[in-house]
Amino acid sequence: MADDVDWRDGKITDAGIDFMRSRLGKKHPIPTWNRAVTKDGIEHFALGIGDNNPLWWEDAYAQASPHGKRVAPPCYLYSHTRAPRIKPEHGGQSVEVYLPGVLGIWAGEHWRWNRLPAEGDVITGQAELVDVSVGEGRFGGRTVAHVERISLVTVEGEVVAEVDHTIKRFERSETRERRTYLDRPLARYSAADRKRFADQYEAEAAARRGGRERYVEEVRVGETLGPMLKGPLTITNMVGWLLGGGSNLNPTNRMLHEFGKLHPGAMMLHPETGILDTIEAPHWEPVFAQASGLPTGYDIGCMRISWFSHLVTDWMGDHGLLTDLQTKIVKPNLMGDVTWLTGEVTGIEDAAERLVSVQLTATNQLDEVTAIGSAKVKLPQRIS
Amino acid sequence: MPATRDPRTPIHDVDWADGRITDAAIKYMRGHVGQPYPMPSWRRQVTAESIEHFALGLGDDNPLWWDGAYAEGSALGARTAPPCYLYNHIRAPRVRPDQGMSSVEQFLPGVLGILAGETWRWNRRVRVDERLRAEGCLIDVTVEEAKFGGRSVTQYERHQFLAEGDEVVAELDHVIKRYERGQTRSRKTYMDRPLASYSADDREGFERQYAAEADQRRGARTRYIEDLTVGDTLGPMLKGPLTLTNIVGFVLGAGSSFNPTNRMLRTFEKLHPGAMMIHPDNGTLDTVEAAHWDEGFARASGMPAAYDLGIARTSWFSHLVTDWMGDEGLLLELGTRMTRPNLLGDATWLTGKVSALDPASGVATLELTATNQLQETTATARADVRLPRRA
Repeated sequence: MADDVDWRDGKITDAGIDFMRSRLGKKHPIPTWNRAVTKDGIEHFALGIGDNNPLWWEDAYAQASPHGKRVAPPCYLYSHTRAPRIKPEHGGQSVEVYLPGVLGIWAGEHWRWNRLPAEGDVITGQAELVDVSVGEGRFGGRTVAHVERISLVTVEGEVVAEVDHTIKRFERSETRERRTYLDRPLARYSAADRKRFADQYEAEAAARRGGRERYVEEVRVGETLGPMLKGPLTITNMVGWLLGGGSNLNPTNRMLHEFGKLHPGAMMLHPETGILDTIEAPHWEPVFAQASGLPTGYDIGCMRISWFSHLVTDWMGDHGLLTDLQTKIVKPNLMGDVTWLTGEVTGIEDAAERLVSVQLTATNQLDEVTAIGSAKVKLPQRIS
Repeated sequence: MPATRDPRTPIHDVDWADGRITDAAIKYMRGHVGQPYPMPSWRRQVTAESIEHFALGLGDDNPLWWDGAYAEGSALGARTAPPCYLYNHIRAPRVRPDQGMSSVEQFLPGVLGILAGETWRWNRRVRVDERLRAEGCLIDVTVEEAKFGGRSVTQYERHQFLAEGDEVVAELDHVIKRYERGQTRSRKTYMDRPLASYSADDREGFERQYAAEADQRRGARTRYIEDLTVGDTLGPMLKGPLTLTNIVGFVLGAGSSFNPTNRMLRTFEKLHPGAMMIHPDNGTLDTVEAAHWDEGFARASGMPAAYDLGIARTSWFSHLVTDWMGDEGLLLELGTRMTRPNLLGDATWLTGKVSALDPASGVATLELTATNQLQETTATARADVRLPRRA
């Protein structure tokens, strides 16, 4: 039963690590929040990242674009990787199957796209553990990093994209002792701050490249992207992302009970109220967050990754294709934090392939870098 | 958590703190009675996924919603949606000027609006792949003397859910009470209400209840009207304990009018200043939905903790009925009244009884009650169900 998983003091054991290693390379299907790509699903995701690009929102615009139909933002595909595993045949999520009770933090992801998902596609996911490594943690004690690969495949068998999730595992007792983030100041804003945020948001849509081609020949190393603003982070913002990205950890009532029976390692017991909850709760429940060594709720790592993809799609224009996005989450994004996204072109990777590489940075109101990324973008070529 | 700033601070020119009920505003409202307006909707098309998301948000594991093969082999012959799934088709953020305003913004802006009751009427179930649209209409406005002096207004709104050919598949009436916040602010009715905490025994009790519920679902075993007696009971069915996870789960299935983000939240804010609040502790701009998950906002509204969406309890009542009536029953009408808040931590026990039977039409009338862990009644409802008759 869920009461038996020691989520406060779960340990990284040799047996736990051996078990993980024995599972390397075994592919299995995963349930997904969306299966068919619909206009509704595309819009929900765009709303959850604050992306008002008409490519995602308007039929007429999308049909006249190089895509010729409604397409989805690249990271929309999160909604085809996330759904609660409510049947025994769905198996478990990596953080509960491996080292149950041990804190899991999204450390980074590597997305690769062959094309954008489009309205009418039916896309399902397949997962596979591809790497396990044991290290010394900054937080203290032993840590484990595991990499799970999810392939997103149409019913016709076409691989639309792949994503590698790197999850770092820490013993919670260690992270509590280190108190790295417990004293981090929380944000407070004045009317002048709110005005600054509003002005930034107002300016952003006009900076979107849109239908004007960004030709590879015109791009210079050192050219900058952004800034783009995301936040301040609120629960409303997080729920907004989940509405589009889908959720694997929000079943309710009778179905939460069934879920808890199948996934005791995905459940936590609230230290004050004695209520059973899922491991998603620290994102919005401060008491759980504090038990994990953070002073308040914090974002879901995929949010910042989706935000990076928005910075790139706004910059590259409708004719570009984001082919590769590698990200590392380096500090928590706490309730109240604002995230400023910026980028810089670092190289023309392959002029023949029209590939440009871009470095991405997410910075909060304390000027802390909270995430970094690198992207590869395929751009159109000027016909001479 | 002391409030350092009144979250009801006006964002722009809407007077959130002291919006008044004026003769001119009432006259303006009355001028709009009977004029339909389009409702933006979270979903346009009914899909298998959208049905599952809603069922997951209720905790309704009925194979009619989840299992295509079961549904097609059932008396219904198709995958259909739970009755209250239709909330999806009237909830969406109005992020374009042509999507208009919600009725509490358009009429008496700045005046508190409380959903006092709902009445659903269904003509039939909706099926996978159907495309639906919805229209709203103000159908009546009444002015009353308020308990604490001054006036209050009751607005009656009707939403129609329209399938192809403008066939009305369902209607939903909302009764919204409008109070000047100046009158209600001094009331602290719920601030001292004890919050729940549970022991391992309590959790075991919840687990036993949840484990037993699915077996009590009537399912394919037809419930005939002739087999019922007035006084027959429904339930109990458990919902909760209420957590943010549970509230988010419901919103994920029902859609959301108030969760646009980042750049699009700014667009929304410009169009709907009356739907925004400023957080009392950190000065962050948020929407009026935030009181459902943010304690700072909840306390500023006179609640000791965050609280559920009223429509979640209406949906829970519909689950009590659909589990009881079986696959062949049709929920025709459901009228609910929210009588007390459902706060974080609360467990809601749903029960009901048959109050009237009309064997000629096959209609059974049910009285339903939601009771929390303090034995308080938090909502009541009345439902009409059409059941098959024995040949």
